[in-house]
Amino acid sequence: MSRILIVDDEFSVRALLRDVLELEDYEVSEAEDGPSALASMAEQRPDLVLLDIMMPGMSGIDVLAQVRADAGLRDVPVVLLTAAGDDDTTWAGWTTGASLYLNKPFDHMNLLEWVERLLAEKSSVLQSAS
Amino acid sequence: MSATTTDDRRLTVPAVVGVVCVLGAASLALAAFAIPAMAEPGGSSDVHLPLAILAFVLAAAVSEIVSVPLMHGGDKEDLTFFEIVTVAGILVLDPAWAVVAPLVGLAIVQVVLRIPPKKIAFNLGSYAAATVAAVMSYLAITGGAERFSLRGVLALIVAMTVFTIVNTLLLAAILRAAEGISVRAFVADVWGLSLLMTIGSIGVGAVAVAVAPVSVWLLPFTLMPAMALWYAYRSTSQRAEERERNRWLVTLSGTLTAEHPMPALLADASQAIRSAFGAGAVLVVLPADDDLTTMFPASDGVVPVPLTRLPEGWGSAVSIGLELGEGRRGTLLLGDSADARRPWAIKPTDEAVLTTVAASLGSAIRSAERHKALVEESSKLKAVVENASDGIAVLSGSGRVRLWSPAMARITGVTETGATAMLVALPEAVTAIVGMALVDGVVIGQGPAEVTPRNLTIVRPDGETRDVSITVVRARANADGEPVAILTLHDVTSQARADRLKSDFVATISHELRTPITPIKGYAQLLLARGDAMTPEKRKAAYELIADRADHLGRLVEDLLMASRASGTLGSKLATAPQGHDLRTIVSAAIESFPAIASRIQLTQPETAVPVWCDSVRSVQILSNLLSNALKYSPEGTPIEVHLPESEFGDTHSVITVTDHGCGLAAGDTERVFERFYRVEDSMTMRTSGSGLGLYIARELAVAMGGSLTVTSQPGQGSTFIVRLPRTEAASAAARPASAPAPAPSVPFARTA
Repeated sequence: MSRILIVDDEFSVRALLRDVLELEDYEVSEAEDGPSALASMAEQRPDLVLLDIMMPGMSGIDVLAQVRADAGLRDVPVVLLTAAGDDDTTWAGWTTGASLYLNKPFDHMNLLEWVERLLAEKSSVLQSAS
Repeated sequence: MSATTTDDRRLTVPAVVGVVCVLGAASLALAAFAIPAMAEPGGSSDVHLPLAILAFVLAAAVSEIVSVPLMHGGDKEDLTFFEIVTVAGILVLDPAWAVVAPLVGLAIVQVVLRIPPKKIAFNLGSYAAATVAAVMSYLAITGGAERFSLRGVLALIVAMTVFTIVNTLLLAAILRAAEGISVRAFVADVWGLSLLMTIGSIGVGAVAVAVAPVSVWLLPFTLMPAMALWYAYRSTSQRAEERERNRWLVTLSGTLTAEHPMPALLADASQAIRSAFGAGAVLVVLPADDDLTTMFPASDGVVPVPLTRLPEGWGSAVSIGLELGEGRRGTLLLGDSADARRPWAIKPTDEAVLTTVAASLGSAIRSAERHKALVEESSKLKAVVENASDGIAVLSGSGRVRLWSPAMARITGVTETGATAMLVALPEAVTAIVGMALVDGVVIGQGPAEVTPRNLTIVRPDGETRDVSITVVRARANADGEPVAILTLHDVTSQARADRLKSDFVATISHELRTPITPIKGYAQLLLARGDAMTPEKRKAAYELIADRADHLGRLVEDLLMASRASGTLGSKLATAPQGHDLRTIVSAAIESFPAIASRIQLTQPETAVPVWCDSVRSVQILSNLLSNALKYSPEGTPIEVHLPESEFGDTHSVITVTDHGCGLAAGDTERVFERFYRVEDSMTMRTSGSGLGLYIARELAVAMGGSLTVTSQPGQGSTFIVRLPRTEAASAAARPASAPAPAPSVPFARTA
């Protein structure tokens, strides 16, 4: 089953995402800030990352930039989740290479649909490549 | 006007009078010794002495009364026939009596006429000296010769010349002292008239004396030359007076056409009119002088003022109306004081001149009023320009700066000199502002007459930037027909900063509200859709999270409400219900609301109660906000120290300090952290989950209770927040800001955590 990394500084949001995803049998891991998220990704190679933008120390955009600059992680789908919802942040997210941009509060069914679709796209790309 | 001297050696009037009196007395004493030793002229008449003396006393008195007024500068002198009496006395009387008799007559008449004593003293002194000099020179030259021999007549001529010289010099001395008229100018002015008078006196006096023994009945005919002389005097005097008046009228026309301020105009014009018309006093009544205008209504033409309506101290007056425009009228009063020797009256021939003068004076007053109004108006404008908080500049059509107000200089950092410099030398801030003003063509006289404010960021010479709002309005063209525009500059820097803080706040607060809503909504949906698939433990955890996040959301909303109740700078509107408490209880309550970090909090406090006069709920909130702040900004595991110092006798306030070992604050942040919505870190990588309101609310609450909240900090080492709360009700009342309302019952919106 696909492995998904949840990155959010807010405990309650991580708990919700974990419950939503685990009910669909995804394998979930968590990180509460940017540096530990990058460390976790380098180690575990998740199939998809749900990334919060506003986090202390290192923002989600910074994390995403590093992911896209890393040859090994470049193709991992990253879904940005944010409560900010302003145009500047959205634009920064898209230009940095987000696969998807979702505003908080999100609809869990909608989230699951997108996660499924992004994972399917990734595997089809991988299959065609192999 | 006669030449005035500013010679400091000038004697005062009393000194001159004193000198003259001494001189007169010395002359008389000299005469008493010297005259009896001198040879009397031969052929003296055998007059009945007592009768003759009496006649001379009377004659001297009458001669003083029949005088001709003569103007000198601003002063009026009287020419008398006293000299004729002196001539006759020398020829007829015993020399001693020739000196004494006229003086006695003079003294009597002056006392009767109530002439001021100082003047009498001067007149007697000067005439005594002059008469003694004349009599002695006469006796010395005749040396016993016949009265009407050639030698006798020459002696008489010399004697009277001496008399005139002495008299004239003494008069010059007193005029110099009193009016500052130079002796030279006075002598130059009067020598002709005095010489004429001397010759005339000899002619009349000597002929009368010569004719009397032949026929007493011919004596009246000797008065014919006297009459002729009198008319000669008068016409000479009148010519002099005319000349004098013309001088004053020229002065007056100069005064009336020059642009004088009102007081100077009235003073100069009054002096000139007084002198020109020989009046003792002049009064100008203007509509502003309410009481006086009812007393002296403006008249048409020259009208005598009834005795009952004269101003105080006046003895006579005429009035004439002054046209001041717009239907306003004033009155010009000319007259003399009640002490004057004779009532003043205007000559019929002068009425036309006075009418013209009044018309000119009226228009001069009008223009002085206009001038005054103009000066007042422009000084008002100047005050507006100089004191306006917004910058004001006036630009010419070519875009040159004509005026640059102090506020303009303050905002832009460029002085007026800098702003009006050569174009190439203009500072960037000025060219930016002027350029913005020129864009719409308002300044050069095209385009709209006024443009809506435009925003601009200028860079001051000192490198500081300011956000300004510029409004340009076209004004009336200047005297050269060049279009002129007025530019006002409003400094919106602080407003722009507040706007930025506000928009930061909107971004922050929307994030803060959405963050707890995310799990609430998410779990609610998840429970609805997949609740049955979840384990009971998971469901319970989900419900707990929903409750916890909803609680957090509620607190956030409370913070917002409270921040909006506090007014910021003008004192707090937060209602508090203070009572006496033990501060230790309040601190414990606050610490208990943070069970998760209880181990990190190190509390030090006295054994005994620490009195405090405060609203307990509000005070707990202050401390909770401080603890929550310390928690947010310091690394996990570091201690948070809460300290209650032992209170000392005389303290008005009790103190609590909360110290963290976090990142500390930069020097510039120690006040800003108490601003609404201010957050130390960038909102993008925001470390905390606060609304930016906690410290703001804490300070507002402390101030509302008569206390304070401050912070000291060492960057990198941590911060210490210091809360001071009044110990007693009196301390609270004394310290509470004046605009704070009286304590009201607490409104139940405080957090209860």
